[in-house]
Amino acid sequence: MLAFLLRRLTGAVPVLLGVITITFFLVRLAPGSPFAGERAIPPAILQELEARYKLNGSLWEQYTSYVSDVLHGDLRLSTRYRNRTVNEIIGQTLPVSLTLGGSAFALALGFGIAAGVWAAVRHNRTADRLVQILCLAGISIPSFVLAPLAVLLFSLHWRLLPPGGWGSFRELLLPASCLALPYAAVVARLTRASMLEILPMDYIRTARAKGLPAATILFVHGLKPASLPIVAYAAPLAANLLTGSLVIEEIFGIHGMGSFFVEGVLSRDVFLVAGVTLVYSALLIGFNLLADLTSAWLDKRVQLS
Amino acid sequence: MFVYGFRNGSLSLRTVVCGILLVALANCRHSPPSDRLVVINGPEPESLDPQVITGQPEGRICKALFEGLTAEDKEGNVVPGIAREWSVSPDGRTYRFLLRESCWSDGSPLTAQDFAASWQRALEPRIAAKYADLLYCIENAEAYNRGRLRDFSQVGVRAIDSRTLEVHLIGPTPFFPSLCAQSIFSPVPLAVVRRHGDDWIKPGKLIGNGPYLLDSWQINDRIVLRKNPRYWRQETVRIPWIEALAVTRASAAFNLFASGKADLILDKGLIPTFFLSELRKQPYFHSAPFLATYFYRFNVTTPPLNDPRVRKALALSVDRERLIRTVTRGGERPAHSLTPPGIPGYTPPTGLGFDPDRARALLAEAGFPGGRGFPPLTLLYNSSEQNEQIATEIQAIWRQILGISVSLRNQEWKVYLNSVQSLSYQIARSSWVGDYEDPFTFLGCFLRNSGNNNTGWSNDRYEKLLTEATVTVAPKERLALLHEAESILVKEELPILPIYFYSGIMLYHETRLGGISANLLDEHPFREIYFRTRSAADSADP
Repeated sequence: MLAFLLRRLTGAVPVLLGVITITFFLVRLAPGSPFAGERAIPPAILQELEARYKLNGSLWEQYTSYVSDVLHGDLRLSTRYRNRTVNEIIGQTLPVSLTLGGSAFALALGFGIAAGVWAAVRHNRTADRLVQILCLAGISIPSFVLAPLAVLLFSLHWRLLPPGGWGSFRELLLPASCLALPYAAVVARLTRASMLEILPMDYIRTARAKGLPAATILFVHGLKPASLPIVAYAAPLAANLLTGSLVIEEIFGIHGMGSFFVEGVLSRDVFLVAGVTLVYSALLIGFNLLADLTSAWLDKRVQLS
Repeated sequence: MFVYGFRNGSLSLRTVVCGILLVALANCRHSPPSDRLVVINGPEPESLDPQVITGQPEGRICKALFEGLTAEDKEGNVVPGIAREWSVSPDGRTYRFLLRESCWSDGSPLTAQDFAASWQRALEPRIAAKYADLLYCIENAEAYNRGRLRDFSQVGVRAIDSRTLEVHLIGPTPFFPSLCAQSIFSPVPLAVVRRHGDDWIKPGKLIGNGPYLLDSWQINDRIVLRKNPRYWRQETVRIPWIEALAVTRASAAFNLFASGKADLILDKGLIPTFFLSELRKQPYFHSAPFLATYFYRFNVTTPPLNDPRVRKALALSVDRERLIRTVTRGGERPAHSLTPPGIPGYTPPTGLGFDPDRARALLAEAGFPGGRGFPPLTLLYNSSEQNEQIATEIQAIWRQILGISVSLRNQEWKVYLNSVQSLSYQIARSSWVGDYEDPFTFLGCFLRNSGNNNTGWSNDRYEKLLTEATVTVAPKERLALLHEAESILVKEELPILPIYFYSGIMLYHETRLGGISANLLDEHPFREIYFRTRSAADSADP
């Protein structure tokens, strides 16, 4: 287990370095200067700006000096937001993205698993069909349609929840739900399919024959083995929720990392883009590792190798 | 404005959002007056250092935190700020400002030396202030900023004593007091800057001299300002707290306004454009002329655009009124000059209007009768729904009226800037926002050596007129010279095709907020805004 962990963490270093390298060169080689604006900048000012951000040597020199700074934990100053370091921007926006993504993750798993189990138990009955229709709707309706509709109903029409902003539970509820809904639908379908495979099995019948309570049969004997595909899906789900919340962040005016990533790309802020990409990659690696460990804990046949 | 996650302007999105916003209109209401004004300010400020900022969202906050020698009032007029009064020498080249007794927010006195040292900082090459050229009217400022001069005592700024600042200019600059209201001319607390470096603009460190203090700054969320008790006219500031929200999406901004979570939308980019025709009917919609022009540039170094007759034909064939009626719909005005109307004492020349017959005749005269033999051209614009609609409309107009084929090419903002600034285009969409109320802020762009020219065009007579204008003291004569120069630009040579003058758009309930007035500079100082009392609001309600 420890050897496995060490191997995976050691393997993450070249991956992260590769991510930084590709991001750095992609942004630096894209046409357009990070300092360009509609108003021309005198060449002397441009030189000063390039020197200030260490973007004045050859591309290779810029890259090596940047990697050296990253290895020392310094993600540099943002070229878009003068006076702000990328560390500071990430430090202030990552908790927001994590809170939004984490809430949506919990909602997606909670509602998805509950609906999936319920549909499997009520197989081929009205409840099952209703869950399937809702899942189809959840997967089909894009978030940029769902979120404005939710704002219209819950904020502007019924005035139950705020249409945007950040800081309170009420402000979190609407964006987290809108973000979670499509994923909850996927989890529900996965759970339902998995449970339908497990429920007819002999050991479940044995458990029933022994007179075990229905909840114990479903959630202990049934759901534990049935959750393997859900666990496998949880890592990309977590990554999607964290990186894919951009539309929701925009619609609800939430200051997460996603908007900074896009702004960084558009303004050629190489350090902001590379910094955010680095954090996203590290989280993705972390989630995958966590998913593997959970799978091994759920099913002893899974080998950590 | 960029829209993420879906095709920009896709019909489905527009239908959904438009429908939703229409219903939202019915629910639009406002909260009772409070002690806190919530303003939707546009994108996250790049900085709050008044000497390096470039955008309006930053400018609004900086003008609340810092006050220069002069300031703008709610009408956009230049009024005394930290300078109680000023005098100008007969040759118009020397300004002497007498400062009032005032202090920084930490209680230390604000002196003329502070201004001189702050302007020195703004001009230092290492600060890399993008708007440093606004100070170039000061003697030797350009040389100092470009590193050709190291000794600041050679620059025309001198603190005679703690209350008197003398400024020597390279020529008569009647709009200099108006320049002094710009953020880059603000004083900055240099001791604090030295102590904290880049962090000096953070809450708890920033010291200002404006009507408000920086209370908190949650990145990409909100900036909270509180009234500065040490501001020299603090008794006139009526709202104790300002919350400036960072919102980049028009629908999010409108939702916040419609649900009563925000009192005021100030940023034109935050008005849902496809929704404008409905929005304009609402009592909280306010639009006014704005000192900015939307125009097309011609790259005059490439044939056939090197022929003024061709450029004139292209300009004469565009029906701007129709464009505004059918495409922009935001209360803009058709532009036949580069300088918008409204600058005191200056009437811009009327350039070429809509005259399709003359356009066809000119094109034939240039060797392309009925558009035959006319080489294919490309019209470049930066990706945005409205730019695309305008370009498509103009493409159709040129095909119908002149019989010429123009293809469209859109590029992402930074790529587009690169293309325009390296003259890698034939016709390109552009815009220019005036920095101060004087035609020179527009006309100076088309001087031969201006970095903002980007057309390859130059004209000796134009250069001579503008040079002459910079040394002419009499305002009338000076403006006459500028008028003549602009006539060359929009009547004779046409390196540009003016299309429309922007309008400033704001959303706020007049029954709730006072102290906001339409003005050409689109300046709405927070210090002048106030909540109407409930009884006043009631009596004002229709």
